Amino acid sequence: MTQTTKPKLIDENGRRLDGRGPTDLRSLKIEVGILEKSDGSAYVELGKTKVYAAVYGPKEAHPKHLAIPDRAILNCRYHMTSFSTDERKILGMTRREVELSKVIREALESVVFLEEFPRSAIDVFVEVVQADGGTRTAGLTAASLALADAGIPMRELIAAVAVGKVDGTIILDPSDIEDKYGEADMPVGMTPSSNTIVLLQLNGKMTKDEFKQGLELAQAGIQKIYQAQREAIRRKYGASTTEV
Amino acid sequence: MSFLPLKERSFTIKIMSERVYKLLQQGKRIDERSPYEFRKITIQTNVVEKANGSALVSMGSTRILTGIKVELGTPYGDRPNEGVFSVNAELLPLASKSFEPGPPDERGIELARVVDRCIREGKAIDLEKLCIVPGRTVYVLYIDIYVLDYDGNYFDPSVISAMAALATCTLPNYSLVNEKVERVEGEYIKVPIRDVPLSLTIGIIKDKLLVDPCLAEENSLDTSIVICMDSASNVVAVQKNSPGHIPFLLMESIINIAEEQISKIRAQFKEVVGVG
Amino acid sequence: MVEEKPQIVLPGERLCVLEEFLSGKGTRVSADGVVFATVVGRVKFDRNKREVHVEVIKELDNITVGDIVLGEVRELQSKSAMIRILGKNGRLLKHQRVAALLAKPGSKESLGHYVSVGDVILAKVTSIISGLLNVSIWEPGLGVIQAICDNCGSTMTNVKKDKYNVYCPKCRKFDTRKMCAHHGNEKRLYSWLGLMT
Repeated sequence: MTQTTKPKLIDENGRRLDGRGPTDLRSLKIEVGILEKSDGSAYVELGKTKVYAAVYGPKEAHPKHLAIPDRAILNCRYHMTSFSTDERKILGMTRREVELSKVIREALESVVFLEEFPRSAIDVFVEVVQADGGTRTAGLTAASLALADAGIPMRELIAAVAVGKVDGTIILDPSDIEDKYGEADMPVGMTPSSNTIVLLQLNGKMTKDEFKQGLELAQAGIQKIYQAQREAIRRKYGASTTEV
Repeated sequence: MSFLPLKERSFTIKIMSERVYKLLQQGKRIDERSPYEFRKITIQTNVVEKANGSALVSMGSTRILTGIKVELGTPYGDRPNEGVFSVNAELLPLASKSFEPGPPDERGIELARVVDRCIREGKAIDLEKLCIVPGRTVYVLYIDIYVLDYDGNYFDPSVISAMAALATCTLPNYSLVNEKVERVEGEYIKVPIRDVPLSLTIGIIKDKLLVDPCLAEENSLDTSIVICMDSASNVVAVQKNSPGHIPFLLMESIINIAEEQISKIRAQFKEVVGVG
Repeated sequence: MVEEKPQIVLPGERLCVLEEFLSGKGTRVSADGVVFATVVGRVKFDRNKREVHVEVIKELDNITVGDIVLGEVRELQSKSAMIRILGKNGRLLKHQRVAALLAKPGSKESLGHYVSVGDVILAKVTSIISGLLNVSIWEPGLGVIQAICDNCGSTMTNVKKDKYNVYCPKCRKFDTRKMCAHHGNEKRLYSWLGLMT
């Protein structure tokens, strides 16, 4: 069922398999506050990649011995549904999911004012419903929105996107197939106004110049995603003029 | 009620339970429904393109996502002519503060097994049509249920979403060429649906009944029961899913209410999904 | 005069510089003197206090000293009790918390003379030290709002007999409590628990 020979990822006109140019994002849809029972939640759809995030807390840390007297602990679980990938994913947490949980958590820890909640815990859950490339960045984008939606104070929102290298070209927001047959995949998470990097990974080979070019492309993409984050929050909370 | 850990089962629950009961005596509920009224149901199918079938169902703010993945496998030894399906359910920690990360606990396993029984005993799928080579190759359907948002009663929307995902599920077509199973490129077949069993959860407080409890009600119930019925109103699966007593004399009205309300759910299911 | 901006701001959004307005709730000051929002909410410029604050879209469970909380007595010893806090200022918390209730200062009587396990109480938060809460019921207006019989677990009613002030109609036990004025007031309890329709 899966293709074994590498398809041509960029045609003569510079178009990608799904018709995008190298610097185009896929269609982006963001919603906040969609899961009723969580304290904060968000949904991010980037092309076929679909991710939910929910936040619980701040609440008492348990077990008690894990509590830190001068700040909150932040827990994060990145998880994929069994039907999110082409081949059915086995149930339970894979090593990949454990690693991504860690990098997403560390990105979030760098913006949340954890010291405001001593001995507390904040739980962040990222659930990938469909994976078509860029799930950790979509997950981080959603998780930071869910934290904001929960009313948790943070230095800044986080927006994230991946860049890749396929057929020698640096591209924005690689899809699954571009990731699989491309030469490199680099997820980047940033704070959009102060321009700091909070998540950065690279899988593949890039020259120094390509690496720089990739970061700049990611930065441009992140600004677009940040605008969509803003709009989503304003759509949800901007309409009514009085507090409920 | 079993949905709360022991330490949470406290006096405040008792106060809530008394309140829910007093309202029921006046024919009212805390969310302003009538006792036998289920919450608003919405059904969206084909929400996950990578799955062979999928459905996102909400009942009030309880939200369930089911996806089906199809593989080829071998049939069970005692049923060589039948395809295979397995149901799995996960109560995601995203859905509620009472759900913990980790492998499915007893509640998740119970949910999966109730949905499995409902589909199996309700003869929902014509399993013989899922056989490609008797005794050797059959379709294997993995029906995976995820609770995304939990505001009480995950049983009924799970059954609805599993059935909606099945009814809209497409299978890659295979044919037998020179004793070998080969994919017929570009051709898909539908899952042969024979019946659409559906369920209804009924909560019991003393001598009063209510349908489709929301979370606050669920925590206040003495006990509750899930009734699954097929389109001819045969009872195909039952699960008393929490500790407590059901007065024997209430069983008749439980079955009658289930029949009446399941037929209403069925009408909505048919309208959206097309079968039922 | 308070001026409200209609637009919703996001964490990290620049509001003003420190020379214009001081940093209030929901804001912080960066190293170079810019006041920025830390939460999603509406900006309010308070010209009298010369302060800017952001009114957050969703209130957190923040408990502060002086809050009146609804709690349940979970464990009882002669000098202290463990209280599970269910709500504050008239509404339920999203996440319950634990607090300590200490015996009446200067009193020789055991705490069991005033409260019993299972009782629902109204208490005031007296101190918070790095996330650990202390509450008190030793003020007028505070105390047990619903007493629970430590013998049979039923709700107790008001009574006046000798030194006793609560009575269990089920097992006929008399007992004493530090009650608040609203003891046994169902409506008040329901409204705390969000059970009014």
